[in-house]
Amino acid sequence: AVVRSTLARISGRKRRESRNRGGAREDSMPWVSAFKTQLKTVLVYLNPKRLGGSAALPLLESLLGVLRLPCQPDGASVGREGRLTVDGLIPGSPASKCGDVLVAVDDVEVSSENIEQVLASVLGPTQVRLTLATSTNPGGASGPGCPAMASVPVVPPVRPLPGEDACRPRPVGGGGVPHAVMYLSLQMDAKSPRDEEEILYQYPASEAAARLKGARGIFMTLCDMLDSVTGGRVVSTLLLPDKHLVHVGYWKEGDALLVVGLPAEVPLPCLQTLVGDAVRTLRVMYGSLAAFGRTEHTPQLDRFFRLFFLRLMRPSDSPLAPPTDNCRSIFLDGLPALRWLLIANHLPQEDLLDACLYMRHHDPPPPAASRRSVGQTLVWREVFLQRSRPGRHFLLIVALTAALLRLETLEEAVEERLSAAAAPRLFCADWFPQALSAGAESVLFHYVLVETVRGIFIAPTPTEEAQLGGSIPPSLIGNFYRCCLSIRALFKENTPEQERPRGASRVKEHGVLFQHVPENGTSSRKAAPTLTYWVIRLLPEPVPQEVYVCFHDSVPPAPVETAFRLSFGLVT
Amino acid sequence: MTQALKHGSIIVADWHRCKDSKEYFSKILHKKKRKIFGLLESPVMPPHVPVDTVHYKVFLSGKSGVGKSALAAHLAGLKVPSTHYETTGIETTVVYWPAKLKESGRVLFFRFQLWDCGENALRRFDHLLPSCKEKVDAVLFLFSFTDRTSFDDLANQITKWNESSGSPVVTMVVGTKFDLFMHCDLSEKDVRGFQETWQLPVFRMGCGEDDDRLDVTAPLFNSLAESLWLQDCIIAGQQV
Amino acid sequence: MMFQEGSIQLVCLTASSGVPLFTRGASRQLPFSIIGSLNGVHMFGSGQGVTLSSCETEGGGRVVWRVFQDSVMLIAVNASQQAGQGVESSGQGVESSKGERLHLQRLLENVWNCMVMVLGQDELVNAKNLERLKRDLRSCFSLVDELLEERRPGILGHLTHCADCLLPPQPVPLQEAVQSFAKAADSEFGCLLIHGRVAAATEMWWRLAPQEIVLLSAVMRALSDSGAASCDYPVFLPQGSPTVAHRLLRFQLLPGADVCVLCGPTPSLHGAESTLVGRFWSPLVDNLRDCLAIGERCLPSSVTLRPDVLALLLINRENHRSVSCMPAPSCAYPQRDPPSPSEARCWELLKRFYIFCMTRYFKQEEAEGTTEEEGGTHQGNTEDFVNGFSHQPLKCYVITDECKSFALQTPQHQLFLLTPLTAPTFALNTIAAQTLSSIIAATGF
Repeated sequence: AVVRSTLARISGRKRRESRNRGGAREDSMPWVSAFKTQLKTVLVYLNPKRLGGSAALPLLESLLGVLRLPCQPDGASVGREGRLTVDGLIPGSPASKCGDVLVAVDDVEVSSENIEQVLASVLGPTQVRLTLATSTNPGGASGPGCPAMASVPVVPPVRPLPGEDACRPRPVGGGGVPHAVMYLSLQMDAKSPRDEEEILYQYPASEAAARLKGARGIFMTLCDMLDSVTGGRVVSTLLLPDKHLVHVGYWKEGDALLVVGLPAEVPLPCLQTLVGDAVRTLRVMYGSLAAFGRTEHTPQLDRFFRLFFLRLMRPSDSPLAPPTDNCRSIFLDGLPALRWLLIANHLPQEDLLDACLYMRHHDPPPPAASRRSVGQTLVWREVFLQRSRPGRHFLLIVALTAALLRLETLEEAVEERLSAAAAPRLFCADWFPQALSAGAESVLFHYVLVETVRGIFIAPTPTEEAQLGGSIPPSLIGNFYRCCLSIRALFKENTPEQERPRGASRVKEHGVLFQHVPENGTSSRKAAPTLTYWVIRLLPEPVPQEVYVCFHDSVPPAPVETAFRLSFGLVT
Repeated sequence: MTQALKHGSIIVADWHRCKDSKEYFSKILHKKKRKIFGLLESPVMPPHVPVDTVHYKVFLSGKSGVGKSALAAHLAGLKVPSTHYETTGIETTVVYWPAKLKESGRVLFFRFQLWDCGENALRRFDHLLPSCKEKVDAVLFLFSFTDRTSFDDLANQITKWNESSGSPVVTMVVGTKFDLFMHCDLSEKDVRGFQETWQLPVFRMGCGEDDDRLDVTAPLFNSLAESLWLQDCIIAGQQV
Repeated sequence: MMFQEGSIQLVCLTASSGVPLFTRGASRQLPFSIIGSLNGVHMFGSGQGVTLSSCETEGGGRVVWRVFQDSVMLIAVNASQQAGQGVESSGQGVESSKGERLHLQRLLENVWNCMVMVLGQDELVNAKNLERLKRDLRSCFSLVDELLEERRPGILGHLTHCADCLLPPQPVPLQEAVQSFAKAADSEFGCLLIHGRVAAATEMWWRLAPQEIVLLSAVMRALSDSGAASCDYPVFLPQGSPTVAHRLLRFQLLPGADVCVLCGPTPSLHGAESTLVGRFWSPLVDNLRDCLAIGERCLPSSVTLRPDVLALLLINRENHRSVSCMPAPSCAYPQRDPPSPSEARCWELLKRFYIFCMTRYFKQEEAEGTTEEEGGTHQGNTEDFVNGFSHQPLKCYVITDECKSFALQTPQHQLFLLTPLTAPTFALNTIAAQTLSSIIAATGF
């Protein structure tokens, strides 16, 4: 219903406006161009005074709600420079759909150069007439339901980060750190071996990746050979290009190999999961990894992997967001949970996982993202779910101020789902019995319960942290996360019951005690006491759950057990 | 080295089979297996039966792989290693052997220290051979029944040794791996021919596990003890 | 599948030309083409400026490469565990510690040190006559096989790179005897081993690199096992003097008690044996027998351990020494319910736990004089994952359905402990702390 209401709002406004003007009139002035175009005129009511604080954005955006991608100088749009193409929409925008070209404002012809000036001259609340040209594809219906993905002018799923040039990606994580992704064909055409023929796809084309690209022969050979040598398919490799340690993950499919190289800062226990998740998302997007071979997907794949690397190799000098945000983002990014909270879900587990992975892979990493940019996303594409069912499936993502995820099949009707108005809050610690968090000293630091894509994460709220006077250092959360990775990797080695060979043992509990000795600053204040805390995970019986608890060393065992027992009731 | 010594003329032959030897042999056995003595230990007889121990140094010489280390282990009652590993330095093995002098009926413990060094190591480090030869009392030249070249090389070895050695030394020849009939490379005639030419006794040793080791080692030890005792007596100017 | 599951195959080749020098390990050896490919992959990488370090396959299979002194390439291959499910071969259950990356890396380093120890660096680096080198390398095989097979499960030095020690009840007279014996033998390096573990040693001996001490102990153990009464072995010290040989003189004082000295050209073996051994060591026979009586427990009776300690490994981080023991073998106690793991399995679990902790949480100490830049090893021995922690892990524990394991680290020590399942989890911390203080207080380790 949201979509409908949004559309209704837009069309309603048009109707209103046309009523205002006393009847819409569509001047169809044939343009001399390759496509047949239609001109339409729209009157909008603009109020520059209502802009408020969003002065940083170009007026085009804030007034008209029109998003523009930076133009591509080497793009195919020769002869179209200067034209204002409506690339993206903000809800409530008067443009009817993407792809429209804004031709004139108040009958003054506009182009990318002078649009700002023109709009700036709109001083007071007034009506403005916009002339938009819509190009229609001959013989093709536009709008949802169109089978061919390529012809639907979808909004790129991600709004480009402000101030960035999407076509010239900035090197990720510092210029020298080697990282790369390559899709290699293992089938060699012996007749005419061209140079680099086996590379079906590679990213990035930077100095950092050049070494790894040159060494691709290693990956292909290992993939071929190791099966017969050790009896297992190759999973990861440790390399040192130029004294940097790099972990390379493999994924073999058919007679092609996907290779992902990440610097050693990305912990090795993550590697296989990351690659697996990326492959799954790519399959969701394209149906199979064969999409690598098709050149038309290359820009999208480039963007996909650019975000992938950005997210994993956060530049170390990025300013940290306020502690709680950082907590949330580090944590929920790492374990496969949503970056936002899952309010309600009616999807089966597998589909939910597919959708969530898709969202995660297309979400820009925390330092650059802001709630505003998220709210401008509109995605509509065909997807290929893990669970194959008859019929075709499409993913529609509409982001308002909060995220919204929907999956639609052709047969089913569009359902209504509304999001909460306010930003969702974390569960408060006072949901727990007082015994856990009572007392002047907070001893329960963090509590994480994870299921496939959802979980519970409990952390002290900013007010509580302030009360404790900084005895919980911000680095705690980073450590907690890293420790959870290690613990999780250990538990992952537990093979399922029926496959377990005789004599193998199962891990049932694992915990680590950390010590933090705060460094004394130049101030002569009494040094903060040494902090020692445990991170523990249990495997409760009979239902195995993934629960991590971080608490101060002084806590006796009974409350800790209670904390674990609570996990039974919390996940529905 | 022309010792035309009749076996058993000085030392009671096969004494280990006699009843009166039991109390002595029990000191070097532990539950039917040979006892291992460290350098600080030796077989101890009760106070009313004082027994002297005489020390002798015996060098094992032979090509690589012929079975020197195996022979030393065999003679000492140790476990013979199943895989062949080269000896990269000098390894000595101590064996105690009680023997009864025929003439006086006196019982002595002969302490044979068998010196064994790998051929490769001897070649690479030239301090090893002089160390082996230092104050040596006897030398055993080894060949293997399964390797003809080692047999042919004996003449070479013996000649080289005689050239460079100073004091007189008891010499014996031992052929190893005698029980590997299938791979035997030599004939009885060859061996007898050698014995006549060089006037040296040739002992045949197998390499398998034996039930009663004493039977196997006795002839060699007794013969060795005899020769050494005789040599000592000659040196001391004493007539037996 | 090329070879037995659970076993490691070791391949040695020349770095420049890829000529195979030897292969040790499993019964069925890898065919030459595979060896060539493994080497070729690495050489190709280094031609591109990328050093291939290790590779992991499903089910725990692993391949580790390392080039030493730009001359010799060693490759260790471990078969995947999932091939042949449910089959336990050669007594190795699945989840053996041998296949772990840390273990394989240490193994390669040990094998190289062993090659240098026996042959000297000159012969290995830029070898001209490969046929001679191959023949000479056969001398290393007994040590290499020992390193691969780990015939003595209670000895962990080759893994921890800390010398295995035995703490005698009366250390002072033994120490003095070793010191004066070494001096009389024109040497500063002397050491007494009881049951294959160092009971006393001269100060200079402890100044040798830990890897050297560990290997020398291994040589001594091999000689001791063969039953030899005395030995004169030429050895090269891989870190201390890789090109000039020393003589390792070893004397078996009593079965299980050996003393050794590292000498120059004097004294001769015969001379030392006849004049020095009896003189210095006969007065200490009783003391030696007391030490031997301690047996595999490695700790004097003044150390009382709690009965619920199954196995322990204590490492002194400063001087790179370790004590590993099973204080009460399971046969001594009535059957617990659930049953404790067998002795061999306990050692295996302890090794795995050690590798786990060192790979994830605990920093490894840098031994002096062992920083190597060749082979592209990353700085220090600490794993990257460990370095990523901003706070220092102090203790950790793992509970499986076989046993409970606990590890703690202080600036001076590391303690790894196994307890049976009957020990309560909340008491693990106390058990470990008490064990540590008990040993340190009684022996000053």
